[in-house]
Amino acid sequence: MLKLVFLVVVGALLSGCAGVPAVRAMHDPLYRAETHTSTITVSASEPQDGIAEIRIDAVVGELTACTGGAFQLPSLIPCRSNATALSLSCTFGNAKTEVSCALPMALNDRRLVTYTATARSAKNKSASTVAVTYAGGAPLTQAQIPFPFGTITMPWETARPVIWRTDAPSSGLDRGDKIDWGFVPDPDMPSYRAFTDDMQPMVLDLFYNDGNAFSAWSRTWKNLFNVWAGPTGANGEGCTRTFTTPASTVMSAFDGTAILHRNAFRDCASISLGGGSGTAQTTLGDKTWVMLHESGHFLFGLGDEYVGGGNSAISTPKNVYASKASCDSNATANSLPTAQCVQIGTTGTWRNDDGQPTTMEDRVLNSDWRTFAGKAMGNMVSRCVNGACY
Amino acid sequence: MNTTWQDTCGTLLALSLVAGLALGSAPTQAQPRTDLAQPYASPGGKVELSAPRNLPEAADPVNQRVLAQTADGLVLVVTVDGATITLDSATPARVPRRVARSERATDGPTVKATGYAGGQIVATTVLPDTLYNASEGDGLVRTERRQIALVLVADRPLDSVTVEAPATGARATLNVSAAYARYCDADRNSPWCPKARD
Repeated sequence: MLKLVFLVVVGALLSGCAGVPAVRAMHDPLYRAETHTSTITVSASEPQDGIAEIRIDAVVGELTACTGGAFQLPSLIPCRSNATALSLSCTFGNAKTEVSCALPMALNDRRLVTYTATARSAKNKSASTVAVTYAGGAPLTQAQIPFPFGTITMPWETARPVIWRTDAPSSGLDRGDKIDWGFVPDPDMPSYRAFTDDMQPMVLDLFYNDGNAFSAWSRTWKNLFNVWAGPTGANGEGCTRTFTTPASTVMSAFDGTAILHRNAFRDCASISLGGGSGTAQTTLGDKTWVMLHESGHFLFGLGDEYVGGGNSAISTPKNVYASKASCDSNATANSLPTAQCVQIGTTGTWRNDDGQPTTMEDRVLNSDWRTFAGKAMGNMVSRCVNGACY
Repeated sequence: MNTTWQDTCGTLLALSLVAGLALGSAPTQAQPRTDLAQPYASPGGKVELSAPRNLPEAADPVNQRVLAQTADGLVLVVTVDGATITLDSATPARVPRRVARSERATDGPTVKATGYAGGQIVATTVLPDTLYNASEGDGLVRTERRQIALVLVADRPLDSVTVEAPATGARATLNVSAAYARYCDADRNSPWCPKARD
């Protein structure tokens, strides 16, 4: 009976989508802290009726520290001033093949751009993307704070949005329905540009382009994530991670921070749910897998499930247990076979193993979040959808 | 060029289907262009760019979002080294409310900060303690020395903050009044100058 209800619901959703255009949008480059041309590209398709129009609505202005009013403290999250709104309409003769529309913009210092895209079919059905905001150009480095009798200027940096989902403000003031993932450069990056160049393919693969199993979860749930860049000042080496201002201040706005590095050293991450950090090497052939594995520790509280790893977890449920009895009881509670509770080597720690490659154990691209880790990630999605990821 | 996508109906369906279902998105070929100064469409399309119009700051959805989801506060960065806590920086800032939580559902160790003004508790926040780390191929590493960035929501200047990291028996009360010196120097009557309250 439940299956029937499920199929009816899914069927209703699918029929509601019939004839509705599929629309997709992204900006390129994702983030560059220098003057450059940024292009927003939107593609749409609707094979039955065809696409009549793609519309891009964009707002471009100056990135600020939100210090417009007297006595207002500068913000870690940027605001925008002197904004202009523009719309680009691309019309097509009800094309039934995929069509695209692109808006290039020259971005100079401290730009903040927001865009949404809408595609309309020949039968006037439309679909829109959620608003995405990103920064470009040289970053803000100081804030001017007005006082009744003048202003003071102080060094200031904000978080730099790379993919910031800025749809309509939510009603709850403390709503935390996104996972805010920060990226910062290690000192071994030859330049900040090298850092942003290295970050781009990893982020795109993780949330959009990759076709492997390991990224299926992040691609499916990409809209739960905001991606940010931070200033220099972070330094990772093994499990020692230090942050100097302003990076240390800015990273407080993130749920977890990845320090991207090029030199080879053993990557390490805190086992944490909020406020954690870890390192990820950008020169590896499987760099995106490694970054996701590290995020399993510092964003999702998962432990390693292999011999020689960090076999400890704080996720819900934990994916690693200190005894078989604990593994068994949690397996039962999570509808997993207790027969799959196996010891990790001879470590005295236990996991649930279904025999398939899993991302906290197997360094292969066809890995996935499985058994306890899969349950924990599903619970993370539920918490985010309910308004509080952490 | 990497062209990637946001789903619309795909997102709706994803919420109704089981987690782990991969909604693969096929990359498409953007039309090669040499003149990036002009908007463009794929073959057969016509483009029309509207005249730019000014958007007042108050009407900007980004500003509305930031104002709704942030509050005045203090970012406190501390280094916990065993039982010792030292202040790295204290920065008055408008901060995201969501990271200034006073409760967190976690089985792991936590760090707690309590902010005081005039002897009264003004704000508390709890953050996971990053004491335990997973070092790839090297096992579980307990980092006695770790840096923690704590965010307190406070509508007034704080005098001191008590930081507790019970996992290593660390507790310290840190004087943070100097964090507001710039504001006092600029205006002794600023609400961000602790003496203005007295």
